[in-house]
Amino acid sequence: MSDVALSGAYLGWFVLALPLLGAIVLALIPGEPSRALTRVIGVGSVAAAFVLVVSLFAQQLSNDAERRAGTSTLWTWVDLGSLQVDLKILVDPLSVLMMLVITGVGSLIILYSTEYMSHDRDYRRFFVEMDFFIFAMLVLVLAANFLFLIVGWALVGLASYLLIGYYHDRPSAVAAAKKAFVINVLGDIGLVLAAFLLVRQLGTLDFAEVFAKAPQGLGDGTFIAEMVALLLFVGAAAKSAQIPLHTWLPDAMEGPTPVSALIHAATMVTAGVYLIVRCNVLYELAPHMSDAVAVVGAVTLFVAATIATVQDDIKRVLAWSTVSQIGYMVMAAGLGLYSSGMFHFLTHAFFKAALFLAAGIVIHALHDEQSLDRMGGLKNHLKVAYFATAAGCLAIAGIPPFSGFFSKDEILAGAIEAGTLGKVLAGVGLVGAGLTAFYMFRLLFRAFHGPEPDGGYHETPHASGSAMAAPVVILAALATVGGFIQIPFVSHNLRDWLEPAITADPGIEAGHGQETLIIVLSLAVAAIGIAAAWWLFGSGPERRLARAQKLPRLRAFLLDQWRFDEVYEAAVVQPGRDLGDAGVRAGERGVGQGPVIAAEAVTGAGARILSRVENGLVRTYAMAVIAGAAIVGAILILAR
Amino acid sequence: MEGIPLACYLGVSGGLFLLGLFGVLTRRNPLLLLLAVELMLNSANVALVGFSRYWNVVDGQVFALVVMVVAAAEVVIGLGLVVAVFRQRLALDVDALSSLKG
Amino acid sequence: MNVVPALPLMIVAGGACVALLASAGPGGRVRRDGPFWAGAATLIAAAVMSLVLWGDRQEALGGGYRADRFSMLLNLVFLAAAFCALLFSVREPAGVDRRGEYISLLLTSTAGMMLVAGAGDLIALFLGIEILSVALYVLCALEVWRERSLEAGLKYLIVGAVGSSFFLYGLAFLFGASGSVKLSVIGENLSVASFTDEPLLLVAMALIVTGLAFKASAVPFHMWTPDVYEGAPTPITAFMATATKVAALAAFLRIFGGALTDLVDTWQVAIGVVAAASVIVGNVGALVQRNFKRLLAYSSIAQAGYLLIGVAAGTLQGAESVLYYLIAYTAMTLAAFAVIIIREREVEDGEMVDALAGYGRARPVVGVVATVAMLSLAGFPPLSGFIGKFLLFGSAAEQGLWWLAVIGAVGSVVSVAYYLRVLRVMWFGTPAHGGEPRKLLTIPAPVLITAVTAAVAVVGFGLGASLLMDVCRDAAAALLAA
Repeated sequence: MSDVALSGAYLGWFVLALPLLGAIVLALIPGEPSRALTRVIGVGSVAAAFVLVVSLFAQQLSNDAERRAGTSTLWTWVDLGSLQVDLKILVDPLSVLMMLVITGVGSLIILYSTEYMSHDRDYRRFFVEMDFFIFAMLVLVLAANFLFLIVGWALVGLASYLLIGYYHDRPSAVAAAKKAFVINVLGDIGLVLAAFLLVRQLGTLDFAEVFAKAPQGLGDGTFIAEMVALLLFVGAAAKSAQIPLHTWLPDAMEGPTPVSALIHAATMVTAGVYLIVRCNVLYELAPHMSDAVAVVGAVTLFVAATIATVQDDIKRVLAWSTVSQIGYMVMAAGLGLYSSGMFHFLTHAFFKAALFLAAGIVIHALHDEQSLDRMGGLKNHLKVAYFATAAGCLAIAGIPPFSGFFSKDEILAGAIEAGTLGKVLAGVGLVGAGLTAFYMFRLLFRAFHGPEPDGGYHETPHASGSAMAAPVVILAALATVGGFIQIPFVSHNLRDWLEPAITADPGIEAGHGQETLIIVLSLAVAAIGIAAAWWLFGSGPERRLARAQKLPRLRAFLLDQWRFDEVYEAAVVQPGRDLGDAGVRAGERGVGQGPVIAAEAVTGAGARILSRVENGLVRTYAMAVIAGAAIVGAILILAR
Repeated sequence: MEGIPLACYLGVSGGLFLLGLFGVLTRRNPLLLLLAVELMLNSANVALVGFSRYWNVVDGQVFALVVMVVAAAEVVIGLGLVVAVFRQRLALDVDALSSLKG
Repeated sequence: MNVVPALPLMIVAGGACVALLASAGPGGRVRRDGPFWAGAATLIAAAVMSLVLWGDRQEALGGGYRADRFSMLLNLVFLAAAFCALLFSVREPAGVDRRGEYISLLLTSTAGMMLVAGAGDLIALFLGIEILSVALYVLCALEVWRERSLEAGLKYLIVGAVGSSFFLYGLAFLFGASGSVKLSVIGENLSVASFTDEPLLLVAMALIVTGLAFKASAVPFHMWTPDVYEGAPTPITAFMATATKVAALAAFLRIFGGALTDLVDTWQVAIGVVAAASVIVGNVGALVQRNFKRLLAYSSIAQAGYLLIGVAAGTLQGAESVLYYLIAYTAMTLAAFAVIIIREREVEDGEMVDALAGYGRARPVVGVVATVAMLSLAGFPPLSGFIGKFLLFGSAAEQGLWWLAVIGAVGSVVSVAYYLRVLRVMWFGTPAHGGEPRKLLTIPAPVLITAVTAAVAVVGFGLGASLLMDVCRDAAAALLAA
């Protein structure tokens, strides 16, 4: 991979610079800029970046496979003599695919927000933060070494903190933002430690060099190789909301809906998948960890799908659905089906963004109403949202010819080929597919079909303007046809395209028999799911309410989201409480905040104790010095 | 080596040091605290002079002289602060000086 | 006797006298402005001299002072910190009321620090530590009419004197074990088996670690730090938080990284434990602080811990990382204190975090400075604080000290909570009485310029890390040069 391979690689810097410039210029305009100007800069900078990415893409298409990747270096960033890290970007098919989605779907979503956020008094701040987020995400996918990747990783965490906590006067939004940030930082640590391991073992952080040296430097299946894969996965799981680090994502729905669409559908949560795919060489060296990744993905996809079946908040259904769909991608990546994972990432970006934005139209029309109980019969009022949601539901449920059909089946069919574990996980995936069809159509029927809620709507839901409708229509169209890039039996364009980036592809290919089997099975479970949804929810709330009482325990369990937060509470918070009086604080704030409060309780208790020891008396301080000297002496003698 | 053995120097020095430490921990009057600290510094001087004789180099004795000057300076500053505290009509008790804490 | 290599030191010491004399000089103008200009000119002259002397080691004062790349680089850090403290003090009560003493003591303390960084023998090292401390004791208490300032000074003096005696006792034992006060000879002698009197050496090391960790405010010798930082005049706190820590770490590197480097296996764990304890206690302690100065005090304890992780690594790479992080830390801490100094002039309780509510919106420039400083202190990429921590923890990991790397990294996560809280209050908080923050006065230009410069440096050192690291590597190499 020499610097001359892709001559336009330097354009990547401009792709990076545009959204950053957009954010800075927008932030620096003195006074209150006009909304039109805000819109032009906010959307324009990302759209311009998209145009650049398309030109890069075109250049790649016209080159032959070996010349589709290139790097560009600004300057040497960190130089330790033995270790040199450059400020360097890598433009290859994988990063360009990611960039196409980030800037393409991103600019659609930002365009959508120009209308969605029109009632917000902090209009400018929203677009500054959105542009900054896009910039951060681009750093993440363009980085050509682990250090730069960590920068992007952390910036994305910061940007998401700002966006989730956008409504900063809502305590719940602030809490959700904090939770997301803390879990994200936890993931950052995983990455940093992985980087330390790589430096120690290989003496470099550059992607190309790491991947070239890894087979010798780390060894195949050694403890170190597994450790690297594990630490990287901690980072990936935190960003991609995989169990057990998933609790932040549903709460993150506190952000405005376009934020949910951008961060939690199209870009940020897929960063983990990107990381695993990017590090495919390292994961092929760590077979056990790869299996673990696949299992985590499968567990996540199943658990999240079950939880999604009982959610009553339209955005929370979509949030859990996102967790579940990312589970598919992670599972695919863990099984070595890297390009299938990326394929699902692509189609998911389309249909989930369409679904979120359509949900946004509904929420906007009903004046911030998000509960499915207060919806019904909307298909008569909100045609665009209805058709977009329907297209999205068909896609995510895997009904041909919608895009999700192709990508999900490719994962499942490939999984069958990937050994015994793969077969089991394919089964889980199939069950998940049925659940997916069920909960998505439950959403569709409850929101758009059936009678209007009791007492009807106070005012007739108003249809949205074109700035909101257009992106939804485009995304819905893409969700419908996006799958034709890669058709079973016929073509594998995407796989060929990504080949230069996925050098360690184990080359799992489903036979025709398996492919057909999976198509039949998945269509069957999807049909069952849809039928069940229709039977329960198609005709209004009566039957649903009757059925819900049959399984109260299960329902409560699912509503509590498998009680993950409670387990964290019991395992970490309670002991922390016993440590000191910090428990009072945690108790006041209510349970269910999970690891964040847990960590707070432990450290808070410590802080109080420290504060009490710090009693202001000189003699206590002198005593500490003397005791400290004794301790240091003792350690010196013992550790001799 | 002739004369007083090193062990004696070190014994005296260690005794003085511990005496100083004890004073620091038990006294509340800042003047007595300063006295105790002075004791600790000078115990180091005894050790320095002892080592200096043991190795037969003068460096340790030069060091001891420097320490004396430094210790004097430190005590002068301490006394100045004590006077300032006294002028503010605050109690001459270090335990009373605990408005800064937490 | 060759004095040229010690010129920066002497310039500063002389400047201290001139500043004091100027305040007693003839004419109102000289009295009013003389000390400041004398101080500024002195610092600049010393900095220029330090740059001139940049090069291989030259000895002065009979080997008591060594001018090499290590001491010259640190000279620049001390001088920059002192210069910032000088600028911060333009409207500070103590700086106005007793400017002669104030500036003179500031310069004296700086001279002490420079002596520490360039110390060639134990006498100079002890002398340097004492000069810097004694001057600081007075500076802390200089606002004698303020009870808290007085309390801070007296407390610092008493506990500091105890710390110094431990340190001195340790030096005496090191002399006893090695038979020399010269750092270079100590190193040679101790590598000869017949010279190694182990019990004596162990006691010496324990006491020296105690004394230096005290100055660096590492746990468990840190307890004076929050009280003194809170009570002292804020520019002095800023100076203490940066320059004193740099001096203490310089002494750590000179003794453990230089003279005792061959005994790394002996002292590595002890310093590592102190570092880990500092990271934990500092970060946890900061969580509940409402006073911004106290919060930064606890944060500085944690930062001392990060730095000591690099010392514990015991390698050239570790020393290089420590130097890099010291410089980055100085810049970001000065930026953070600038925010307090700006707000403190405006309202009574300006040093409380809550006094900053909504301040970022009212004063975006100050807000951005604070944001850069806080994020960098928290170790957020791509700022210099991140690069520094990455290097420090990386050098520990390189030596197989995984526990230190992990504790450091986890500590950084905890620290995010309180740094972010400050930023939340600044940008999104509403003042207690609602509306805009109270009483916005014009910010003195020197303070604002310093703040912005420091923030730019934090970003610049981060993005252009390799340039600074080249310098740091040369400086670290000087530690081991014969």
